Amino acid sequence: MFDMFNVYLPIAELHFNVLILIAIGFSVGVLGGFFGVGGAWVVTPALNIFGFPMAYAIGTDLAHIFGKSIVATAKHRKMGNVDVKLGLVSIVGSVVGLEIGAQNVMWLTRIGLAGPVVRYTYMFLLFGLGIYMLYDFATKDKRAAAQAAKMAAATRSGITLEPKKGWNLPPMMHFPTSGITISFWTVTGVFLFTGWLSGFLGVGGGFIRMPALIYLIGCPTAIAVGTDLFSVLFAGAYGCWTYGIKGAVDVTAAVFMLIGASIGAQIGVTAVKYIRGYGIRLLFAIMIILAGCSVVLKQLELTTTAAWVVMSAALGMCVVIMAGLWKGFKKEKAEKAAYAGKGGA
Amino acid sequence: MKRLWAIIINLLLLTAPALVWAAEPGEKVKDMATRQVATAGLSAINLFFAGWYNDNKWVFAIIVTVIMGLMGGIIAFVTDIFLKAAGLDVSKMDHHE
Repeated sequence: MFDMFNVYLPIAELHFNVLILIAIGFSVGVLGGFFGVGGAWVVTPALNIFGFPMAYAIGTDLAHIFGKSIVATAKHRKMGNVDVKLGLVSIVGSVVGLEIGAQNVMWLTRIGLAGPVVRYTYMFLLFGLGIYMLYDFATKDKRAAAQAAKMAAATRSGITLEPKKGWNLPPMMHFPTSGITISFWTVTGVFLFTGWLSGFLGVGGGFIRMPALIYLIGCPTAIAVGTDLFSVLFAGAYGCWTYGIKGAVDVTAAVFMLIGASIGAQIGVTAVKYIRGYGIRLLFAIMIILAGCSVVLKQLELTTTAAWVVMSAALGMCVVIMAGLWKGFKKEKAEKAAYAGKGGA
Repeated sequence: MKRLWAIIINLLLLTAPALVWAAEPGEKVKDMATRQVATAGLSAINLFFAGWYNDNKWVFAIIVTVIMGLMGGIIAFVTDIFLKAAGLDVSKMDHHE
């Protein structure tokens, strides 16, 4: 029965089931719209499991990411979640940092150390970031209570608390959408660093930039998601074009993945409206820890198991996000009905 | 004095990239830039893509990028209309952490 959904991919020169392409695109669309990431670390192993030729996986994925991130960014922009100025600054810093990171990994390759250094850096990053974000979520109430107690004590004593001093080396830049004023050197340094990590690890960088926007720049979570997607849009466009020149994009497969991703992105982006910032951070932390587990399995040469772990994690997270969206939508609808029932008083 | 220090630190930071930039180019990644696909039996859109893939990869890359960009834009526009009609439209949200 499923054979009727096989289509011929003219560039990869094989028949492939479009339902698989649409399903992979859908799940990555939900994750991308919700977390602000491209999702290549889900797509590549997922395609691998189903026999898609790996020579075309990265290029085809980047092509669909370009289209998907247009859909998701447009919707986030409607919700006020895209800081265009910050996104453009992030692209400049990230591209420079990425090139430096790529050169560094080439140097490590020449001295024969690239494999273990990159591998362990990747695992350290995924687990370290995931554990830190879990700790952040677990201690948020305690920190808020401590801060409130500190302010109350200061008020009782008649002392004015000085705001925490950041590095305000001029020139200062103001980002009105995010509501932050920050040194140009801080914001450039952060994106140089995230770009360096992307180039060094050979990854897109969305999952690095999103927490960097939250913890190092100070963006609200939803704006970090939308702004990161804006950056992913440019990375996807460039990736689509450059892999197209290399002959590594199957455009038919990319189109079907984009169809699924567009539907998924609408769901993922809308879910941001109903799940609070710390909820998004918690789910993101769980996602990247599971991705870290997948990387460990891959290093143990359990490649198929690793792919199934990351795919199952992605599908499970999609279900959680859709459940959160449904719950929030029902609550909003009930509140609107109650408000209307009271005569709008 | 503070302003002078700010200028000095700015100048040092501006020169930092030149100091750390690695010199030599990396290895060339294997690509399929010269690969040709079979066009026998293809028709319509498949033949169009395969044809440009074989003839000129630069044009193929531009076609793919434009198609993906246009499709993304059109899907975004059309789904907005449908969602608005279904009462599922979104507007500016309050940011709660």
